[in-house]
Amino acid sequence: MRALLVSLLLVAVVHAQKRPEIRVSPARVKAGDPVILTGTGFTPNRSVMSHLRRPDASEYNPLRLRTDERGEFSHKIDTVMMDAGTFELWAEDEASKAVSNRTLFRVE
Amino acid sequence: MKGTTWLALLAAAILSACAQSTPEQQTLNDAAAALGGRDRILAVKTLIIEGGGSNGNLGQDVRPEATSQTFTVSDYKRAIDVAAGRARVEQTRTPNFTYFQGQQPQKQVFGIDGDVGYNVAADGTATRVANAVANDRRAEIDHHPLTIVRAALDPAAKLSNPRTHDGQSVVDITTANGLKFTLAIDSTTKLPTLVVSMTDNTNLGDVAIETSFADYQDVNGLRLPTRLTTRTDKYQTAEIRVAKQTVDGQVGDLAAPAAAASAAPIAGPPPANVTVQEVAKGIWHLAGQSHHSVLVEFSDHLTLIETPQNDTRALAVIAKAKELRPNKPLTQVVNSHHHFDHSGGIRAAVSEGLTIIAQSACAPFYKEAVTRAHTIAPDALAKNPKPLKLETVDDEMVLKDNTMTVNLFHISGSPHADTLLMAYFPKERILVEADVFNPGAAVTPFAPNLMENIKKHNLQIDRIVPLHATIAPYSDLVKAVAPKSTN
Repeated sequence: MRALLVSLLLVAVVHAQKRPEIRVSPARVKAGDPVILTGTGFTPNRSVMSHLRRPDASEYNPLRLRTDERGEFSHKIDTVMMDAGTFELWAEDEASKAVSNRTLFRVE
Repeated sequence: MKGTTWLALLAAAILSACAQSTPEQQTLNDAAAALGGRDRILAVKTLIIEGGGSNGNLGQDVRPEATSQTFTVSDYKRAIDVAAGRARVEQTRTPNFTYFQGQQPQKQVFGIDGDVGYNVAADGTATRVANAVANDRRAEIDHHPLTIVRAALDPAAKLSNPRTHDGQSVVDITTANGLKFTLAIDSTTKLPTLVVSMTDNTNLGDVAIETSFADYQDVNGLRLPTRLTTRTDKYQTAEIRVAKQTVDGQVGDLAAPAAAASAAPIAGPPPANVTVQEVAKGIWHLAGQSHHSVLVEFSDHLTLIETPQNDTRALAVIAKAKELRPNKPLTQVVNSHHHFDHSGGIRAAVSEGLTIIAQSACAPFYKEAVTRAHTIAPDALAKNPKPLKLETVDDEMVLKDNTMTVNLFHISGSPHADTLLMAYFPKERILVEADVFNPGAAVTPFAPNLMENIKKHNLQIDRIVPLHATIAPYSDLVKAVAPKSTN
């Protein structure tokens, strides 16, 4: 019984520490087409700081986005003003301080 | 055939050749005939148009592309002294939307006398308007079928570029006083359908002002329209339904009031006066006239909040920012919203290489604004073209480094504009906003919505640093939105 409880606790801890995840779709766009950023695994009903890095490595001012009751968010990125190249995205859960994976999309 | 017959035929041929009009002259002759005839038109001395209608809210609607906000126009009277080049409009306009000055009707009187344009305030005070406004009013005299055809019939006028477009005959006219118009007439009725003239708009650049005419009626031997619709660029700015029109009636004294006539011509915007007040460490209120800015210092760069009005003000504010902190680059400008008086310096900021930060709904408008032609009055960006660098805010953006934090929030649901951003300094407990709370104003119709947004984001504020009026304690806003006693 004790072993089962420990196992469950370990699973819970591992789950709780699971890094939040972001995705972009599509990963390659023509300038002007939107890119949809989605995030999962963040603290529900709290805020996320979304970071976007340009191809020249400079960073846009971060946007603060709100998560829903499932800890998810979605944000449309307007690429009209973006230069061609590869952009890097990541997001920080402001409640847990957990930082998501980094993902890329390319503007052509 | 006898010699006399030959002579008669030759004379007839010469007369016929002389009588043949050029296409542009024919268009004008057709229009004159349809309106009542050349002689009747040239005999007209005055015209009085009375009625009502609506005015648009150019550049001040809730979104850049919107045209839903209008003023109802009543007691409209436009008196024109055709020969003397004088005109005066009197009207009462009532906003059909939440207006910053309140919902009460406003009486307006404005006129033109030669080169002198003037406004008359409710207390009777007359002021001269800028030369550019006066030029628009001079042109406006000829935004009527009678006046434009009369001006075109002047032997000193030049007609050119006859063409057909959408089934209409079109001709360009340069009047004796050098103003340029395009006149279109209906191919069937030969009545004028529209007049177009070009002018400069600070925000839009080269714009066409087009007045279209419809629903003609007979008036004293003339055919005159009873519906006049004016568009500035793609925005409808006026529609007048004529209830009564009088030809050669008593127009009264249309001369410019002495105070306006004796005032010096106003060549352009007034010189910028930028005052500096340090609000907190690294935050300066740049005021001095009607529209203010806020300069924010970060560890390695500067950010301006607002480049308002026009090149003159915007470039002066930018220069003052660089003067205050010469060793740090000014890199970005936060725009409070799209209204023309707050976005009139965007092009100047772009010409200085600054990144514009604006609410997302502004993006299409600013993208277009930087590409528009400004050839009539070339501005800073026309003289020094640069690409637009734009970052947009849907709901919230954070400007932050190790010395300064500024949160930019979209003010959602405001009846003033859908594109409003406010800037919150959490450490200094300062809020910067434009238009939605002007401390000391008699009416504050947008303050309750501002308070809702403040509460939604749980902002802790000590001071309001407004982009109009003077810095005020937060308690002033609290008082402004408190329920008023009915006792």
